[in-house]
Amino acid sequence: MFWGSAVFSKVLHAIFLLFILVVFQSFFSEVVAIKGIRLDLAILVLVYIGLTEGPAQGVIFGFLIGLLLDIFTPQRLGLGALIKSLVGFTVGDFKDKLFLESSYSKGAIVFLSVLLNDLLYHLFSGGVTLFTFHTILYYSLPSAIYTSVVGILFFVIIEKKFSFRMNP
Amino acid sequence: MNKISFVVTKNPNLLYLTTCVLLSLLLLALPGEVKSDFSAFIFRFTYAPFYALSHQIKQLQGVYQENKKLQQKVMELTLENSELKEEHLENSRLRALLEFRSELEYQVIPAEVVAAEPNRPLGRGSILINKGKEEGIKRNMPVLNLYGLVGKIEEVYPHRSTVQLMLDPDFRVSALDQRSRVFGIIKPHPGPGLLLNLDNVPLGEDVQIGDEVISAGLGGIFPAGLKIGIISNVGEGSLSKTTGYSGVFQEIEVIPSVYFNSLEELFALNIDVKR
Repeated sequence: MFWGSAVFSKVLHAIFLLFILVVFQSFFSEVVAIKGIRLDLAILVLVYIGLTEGPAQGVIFGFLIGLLLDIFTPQRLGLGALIKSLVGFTVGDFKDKLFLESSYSKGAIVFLSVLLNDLLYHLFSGGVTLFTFHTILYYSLPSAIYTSVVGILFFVIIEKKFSFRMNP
Repeated sequence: MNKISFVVTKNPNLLYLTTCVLLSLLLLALPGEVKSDFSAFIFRFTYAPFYALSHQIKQLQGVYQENKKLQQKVMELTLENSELKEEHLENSRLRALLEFRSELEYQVIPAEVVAAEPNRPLGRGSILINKGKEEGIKRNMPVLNLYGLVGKIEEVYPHRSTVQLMLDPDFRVSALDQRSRVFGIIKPHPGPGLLLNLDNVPLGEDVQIGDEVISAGLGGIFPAGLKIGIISNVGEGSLSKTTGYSGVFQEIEVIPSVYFNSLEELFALNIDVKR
């Protein structure tokens, strides 16, 4: 039965995460920004999906997240979907190749993913120029640090919740 | 083709990646208008309800903030209005005092009350004013305000003086009924309340309720013609506290012209110096 299957559970899970993302983007994206440094929750969620589910789900989820964010810039519709599909695939590929037990190493993956996402965005949208380095240094790097710190906390909470369930 | 199917079979994840990349490229290749319509379509079903909610919340927050600001403004304006009213009243009072002062024929020394306890039940009715010897105040000077006689200077300090009010049990002033010119002595009423008595008025003398009582100017302290009060009650057969004879004098109650609980600006009258 589809309704009780693991696939249905994963779909529900994905929809729930997308819902959270939409709510976050609508209400809190400006609130949690610190002096213009944004929290890239989309990448955080994408890394979480990629590392827990693998590259296939990473790609699909990346595509959907990218598409959801692309609608704010209709002229570049598809660009975010493309980039986040690639990022989702890359992160998902780590699932079986790296054993990331520590939350800090997952935080490092978040950090690298934010940078990769921004770098690919600049690469596909206008090529790498001096301005790209300036943007990455002053915006992407702080954003990557901010997101990875939040990511570490997120993974610590998720792991604690998990271990609590295992050892009630 | 076989190579592709081999790669896809070996790594099915590449199939997902290729599909998503192709879809993304397809979206990128769409004409601008189609992209806008497509974005608007997705927006309507994803973000729009949350944005509407967010907008409502922000509006409510705005209304709340504005309400708080308006409440603060109302409070400020109320205080300001109150201060302006107080200043207006003070202005009117001072203007009236100025006119009153110009009407008096003696030298006057304006003063303000700095401490007052006129209705103390067992103590002497007295107040403290902010003028003393250095300002020309002398003992026994009559003290009055816009409405009439208040009392007389009792004790004098360099920059302060105490005023013995008409309510003080030891206070006496010769007075007369302004209409009938009948003489008597003003004393504080022994009962409760801020009343006076006009004593030593023999039975049969023409004294009526509503008559105005003024100072007679006989004692050498108070000049004649200062307003003291209005007769509020006339009784017969009272016991004179001065003579002890009963049934000889009328018992006359006088409501003072001055309201002793709200004394603010006063004048000490120097009857030795005419203006």
